Amino acid sequence: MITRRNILSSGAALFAAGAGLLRGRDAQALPVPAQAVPRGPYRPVVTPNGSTLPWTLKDGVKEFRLIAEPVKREFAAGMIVDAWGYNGQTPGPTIEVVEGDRVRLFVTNRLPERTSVHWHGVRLPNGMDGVAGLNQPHIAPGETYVYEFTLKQHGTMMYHPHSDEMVQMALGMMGFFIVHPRAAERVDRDFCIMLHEWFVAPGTSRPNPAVMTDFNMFTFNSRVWPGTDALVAKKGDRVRIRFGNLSMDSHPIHLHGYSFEQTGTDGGPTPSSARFPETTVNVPVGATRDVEFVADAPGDWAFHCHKSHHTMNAMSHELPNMIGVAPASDDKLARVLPGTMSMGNNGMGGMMDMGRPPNTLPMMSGAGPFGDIEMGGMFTVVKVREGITSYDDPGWYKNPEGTTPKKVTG
Amino acid sequence: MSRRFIAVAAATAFLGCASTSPSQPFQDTAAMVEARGGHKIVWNQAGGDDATVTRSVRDLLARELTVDAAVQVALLHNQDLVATYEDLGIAQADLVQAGLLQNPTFTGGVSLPYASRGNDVVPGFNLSVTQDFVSIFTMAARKRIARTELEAVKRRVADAVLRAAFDVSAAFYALQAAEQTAEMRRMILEAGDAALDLAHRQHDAGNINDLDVANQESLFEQVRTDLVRSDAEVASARESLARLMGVWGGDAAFRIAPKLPDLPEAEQSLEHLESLAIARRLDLAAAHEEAQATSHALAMAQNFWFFGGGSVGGSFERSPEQYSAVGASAGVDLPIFDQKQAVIARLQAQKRARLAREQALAVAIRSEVRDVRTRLVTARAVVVRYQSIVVPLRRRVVALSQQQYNAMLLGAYQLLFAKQNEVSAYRELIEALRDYWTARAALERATAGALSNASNAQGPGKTRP
Ligand SMILES: [Cu+2]
Repeated sequence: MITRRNILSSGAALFAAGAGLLRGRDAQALPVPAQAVPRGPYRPVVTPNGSTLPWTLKDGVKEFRLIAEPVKREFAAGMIVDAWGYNGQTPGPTIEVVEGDRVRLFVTNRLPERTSVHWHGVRLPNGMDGVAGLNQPHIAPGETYVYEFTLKQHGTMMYHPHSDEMVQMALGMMGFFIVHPRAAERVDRDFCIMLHEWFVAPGTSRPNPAVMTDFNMFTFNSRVWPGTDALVAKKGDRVRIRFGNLSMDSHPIHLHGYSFEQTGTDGGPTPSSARFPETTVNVPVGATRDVEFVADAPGDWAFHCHKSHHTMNAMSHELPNMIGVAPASDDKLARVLPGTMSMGNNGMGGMMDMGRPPNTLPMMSGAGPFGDIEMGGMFTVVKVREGITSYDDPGWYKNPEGTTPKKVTG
Repeated sequence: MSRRFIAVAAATAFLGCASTSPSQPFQDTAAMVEARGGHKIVWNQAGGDDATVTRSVRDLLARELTVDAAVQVALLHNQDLVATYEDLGIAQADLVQAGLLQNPTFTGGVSLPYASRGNDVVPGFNLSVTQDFVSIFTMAARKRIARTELEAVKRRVADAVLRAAFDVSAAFYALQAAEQTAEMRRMILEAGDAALDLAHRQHDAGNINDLDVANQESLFEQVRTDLVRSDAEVASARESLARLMGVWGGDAAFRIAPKLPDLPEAEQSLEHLESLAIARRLDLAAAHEEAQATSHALAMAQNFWFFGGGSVGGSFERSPEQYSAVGASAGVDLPIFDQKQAVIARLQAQKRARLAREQALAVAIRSEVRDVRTRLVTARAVVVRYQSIVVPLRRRVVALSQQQYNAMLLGAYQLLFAKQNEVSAYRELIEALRDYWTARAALERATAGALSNASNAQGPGKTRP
């Protein structure tokens, strides 16, 4: 099995992987500046539940091909969403380059409507900024446009449409545009997680772009717990997690068991003087945040948005409040509707799974080593282990004797 | 033919064998009713088997009433109907009257002399008898009129029985529907009660405010008011049926079958119903007989226009001078002034009016048949629609709501509301079913049993107690 670490890459390795993957019709090539040469090597990012976009090298320019198109995305087992994305996925594949690279990005529109791509945070010629109507024409369905520029910075940037963007982003069109610094960095694990929120009515599969605040699905890379990949690190690894947020809310992402420092934004690296330890990073709308920490504490550490509704799957926000309501002395509800029981009187935890509409996830689920985890949405686990040789999911952590709470009796 | 008819009529009149009992006309009437798929009717004329009738009625009322049993009770018990039967007695009496001769007139007189010249003068006296003879000649014609009138009455009475059967059926279905509707409203109230109970418990826990509770309470009270109204409708429908069945007191505590019958699989043939109705309707036949009777009366007036009054007589007289004499007399009205022209004109007008009325009735019957047939077909379509589409859909909404409720995607209020909608749809189905059965009974009535005759191979009288 090939792990990410094994493919600490050179351009050539990815060149092979990407060759012939996409055979979109090329637009007319733009003239190549003389200084264009591919850079590297670098530690590639891991896009949990996602992938990195392969590229080909042509005349010293890294060529990428993005196809904007409708995609089917499984949020977690039992729920498939009719989204829009790039190259069959949402978020779109992560574009990964090195400062100084010359890139050529072919964008083919296979959506039913026109689109464009804006390279969020990237410093580039104004004409390449991708705001349809302002900097370029809209890309009509069936058309391919090519963007070309040289990276003059490094950091965590994004790409997303800037043509009917409300609809297109609500349906999942977004991706990372990672620029590594020219100098090698000491990072062992480099994750990128796109935060997003959706409204997919229970029993449906199409996100509703008209919804502005009342979202019911909250995703890490367009997946929800228990469908989110664990973030695996070896004890002692320096871990970076990059967040991007193109949703309608900020998301305070919290890591248990550690403190971390925010090391950069889509504006560039955070100066050392401005770094301070914290346990939660609030990722604002339309921005990226990088945090770093050394994984020195083994265990299974919860990692989630701290807005508690964002760690739930499809739930109604208009349910009658049943907390603390005395149970009916005579269950009139059951008399009128046999087989129905009153719910929620003692909180919503520990509810029996009594079925639900098709293509709908339980509000909270996930089995852990000690019982139901009762989470959903923006939740996963950072798994730090000693002496592992692979970053595959190592399973549940075995807590050393005497390091778990005990039930007190008597 | 007319001569022979007159001869027979005259013979009958002299023999005096005509009975005033309406038994035979009633039998004829009963036969007409049965031939139209109606119930056997019994008329307790003498009051002799009153106990039997009462027992039959009590028997029927003790059990859960079916529509047939309710009709049966009405036919046995409804005094309006019994009053209608008496029309047969009246018409039969009129027929007997038509066969009776006018009684002879006996006259006697005495004469007392007061200015006599002789001695052998005694009081004198005279005796005479006169007999009207015109009634002998007109008897046959009068009887023909009376007989035709009797035929008309038989048909009127039979028609009244069929109409009563329809009225009872319609009232019965209305009561069944009202009871089922009230039951449905009771279920809706139960759902509302569950919602209100939940609201109160939520309020007690501090989860909803006074406004929310007031909203739930007003919803509940509205449903409860609906139920009060519904219960009143049941009571009213019950009284309609009780009135038609002619029951009161303890008998009015009857029970009826709780559910409207399901739609019959297949509909009777609805072809040629108009012509069948024209052939079978007894009110039309009665109108025809009535027009006939007027024709007969007109013919009599025209045939005997010159015959005002006439009599023959004999007399015996003893005068004070003590001689005796017998004599004969005859008298006849001279048709100088009254040649019956006014009577004839009146009868002619009456005849034309009755013929026009018969025509109008025939037209109305055809229209009624078409109207009721359309109602029947429509009601069936509506019932089928409710049964196969609307109610299953509402049931599905409840099932899906329950699924969402179980997944905590939907609150109990919405679930209960879905249930109320399902019950409401069922209530609308009940109303459609009532319309169907009422239309069916109306079509039976409009065609005088053409439907049931087609379906009832075993014939009428099936519910005789
Ligand atoms: Cu959040």
